[in-house]
Amino acid sequence: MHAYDLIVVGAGPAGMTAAAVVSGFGGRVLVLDESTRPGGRLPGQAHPGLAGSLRPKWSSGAKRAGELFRVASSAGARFLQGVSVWGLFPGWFFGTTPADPSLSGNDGCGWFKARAALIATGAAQNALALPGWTLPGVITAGAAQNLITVHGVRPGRSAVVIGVDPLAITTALVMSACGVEVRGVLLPPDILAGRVFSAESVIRSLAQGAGRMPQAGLKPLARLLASGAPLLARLFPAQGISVYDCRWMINRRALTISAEGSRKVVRFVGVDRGGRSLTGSEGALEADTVVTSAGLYPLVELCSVAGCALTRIDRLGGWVPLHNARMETTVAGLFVAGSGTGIEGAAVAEAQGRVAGLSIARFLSLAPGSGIDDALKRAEDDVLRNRARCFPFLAEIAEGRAQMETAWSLPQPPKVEAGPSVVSDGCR
Amino acid sequence: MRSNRKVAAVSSDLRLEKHPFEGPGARGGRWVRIRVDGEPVEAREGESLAAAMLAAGRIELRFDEATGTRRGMYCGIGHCYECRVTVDGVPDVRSCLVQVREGMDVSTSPDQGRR
Repeated sequence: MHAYDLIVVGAGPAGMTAAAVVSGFGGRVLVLDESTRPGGRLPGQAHPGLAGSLRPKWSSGAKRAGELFRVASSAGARFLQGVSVWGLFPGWFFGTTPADPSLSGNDGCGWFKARAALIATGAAQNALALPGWTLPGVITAGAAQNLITVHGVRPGRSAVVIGVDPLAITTALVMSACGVEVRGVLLPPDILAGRVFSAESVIRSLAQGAGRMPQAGLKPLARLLASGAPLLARLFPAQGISVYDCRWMINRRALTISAEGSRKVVRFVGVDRGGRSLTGSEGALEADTVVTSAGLYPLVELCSVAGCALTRIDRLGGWVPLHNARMETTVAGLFVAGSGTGIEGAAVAEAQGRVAGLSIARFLSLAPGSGIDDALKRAEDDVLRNRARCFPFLAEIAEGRAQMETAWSLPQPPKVEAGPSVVSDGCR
Repeated sequence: MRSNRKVAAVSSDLRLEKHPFEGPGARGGRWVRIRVDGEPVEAREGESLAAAMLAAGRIELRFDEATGTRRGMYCGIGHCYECRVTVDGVPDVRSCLVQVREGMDVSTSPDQGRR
């Protein structure tokens, strides 16, 4: 078995950046990734920037993904695409399926060994399990965006969006820019989404997010928006408003999805300021496809089987591995970076990847001299800088990160040298 | 409000011929032919199998093992396992994670999809 200094799981912005850093120090690095192409969710991302105009200025993650891949691979990192990691065992041994496509003569499971492990598996979408959610043609916002930006295929000619988080909003705009008729963006069912949504809560969340942005003009605007939220919500027309060809119905809550022939029908009910259903305000929207979004959750399965302590911080998106600012976990030699540590954008993931890479180089004694600590400090500051300049996916992300710092500083059981010998059930 | 729809040029089907953003999907690979349940389906190199099937109007990909109801792609990134099909005799291949290849033989039938 070929041994590496570092194996990275996940070829997203965090994993690729860390791979580049460690390879740059002369480390032998292997990146394992489930997708056919490197980049993680970055190539699927298109962001509407509002640079001095109300018209979205689209920027694509594909270019950045290509750059990060070129830097890492030219530094010497090896990428294996289309390989799923199903187990991580002390040592570190990585169980994969299929095996290394370049080898032959085993049962379909591959084994790889490394001195250090970086889990950069990112996040996945929470299911929005309202009645009818398993019908073919009902997809997540991430799937819709990925279909359009990575595969060049629209999910339908028309769509109804259920959900009002930043991913749902971006996806509605992406679809409309690509000629998908977005017939309605509806509030998600309250219980399933974990909180009660209303026009007022949506306007408040937008204001909260905008208030975190560094641009000088945004803070007073955000304050105005927040204080005007009750009035704006009351004035919001029942049939919604049309912005960028999307019908924003943030005072209607989706109830059920059904199929009528090849069309999907979404039934909804109007809600008042407090999110309570208004009797007599029921209605239905019809479209080719229904796009749902209830936020993202960090993918922590591999951290869990490796014996990392996990902690639940809802402000970070749910269960996350306990880690410090240097991206060390409670298990020696096992590091984390990216949205798997808390839901944030690609710029933060990349900055975290740099921190993790430097941390790992130090752990592996690849970096001679004392410059590494200064470099680490600068990289940690860079994470904070990137966090401050991005519209937050989770409004209270900074508080969530502070909660993690506190959790890490609390007395813990001594660091384990390697995780417990958990043998997972393997290939499903 | 101003419209941003004019940015994209949309072909007659669901495939985008021109993209408002420079994603890999903007490239448009050469056409390949795959077979789905015995019928020929045109697909484009670089597309995932799930995307190619969707563009061909085939969103029903398998039968749920417990209820027998139809299922289709849901998460699109390999996590939910809803889009499994049989590819070249191999069952339970996540169609969102494989790219189309010339001559690929795909089956969505329940008996072949089951282990």
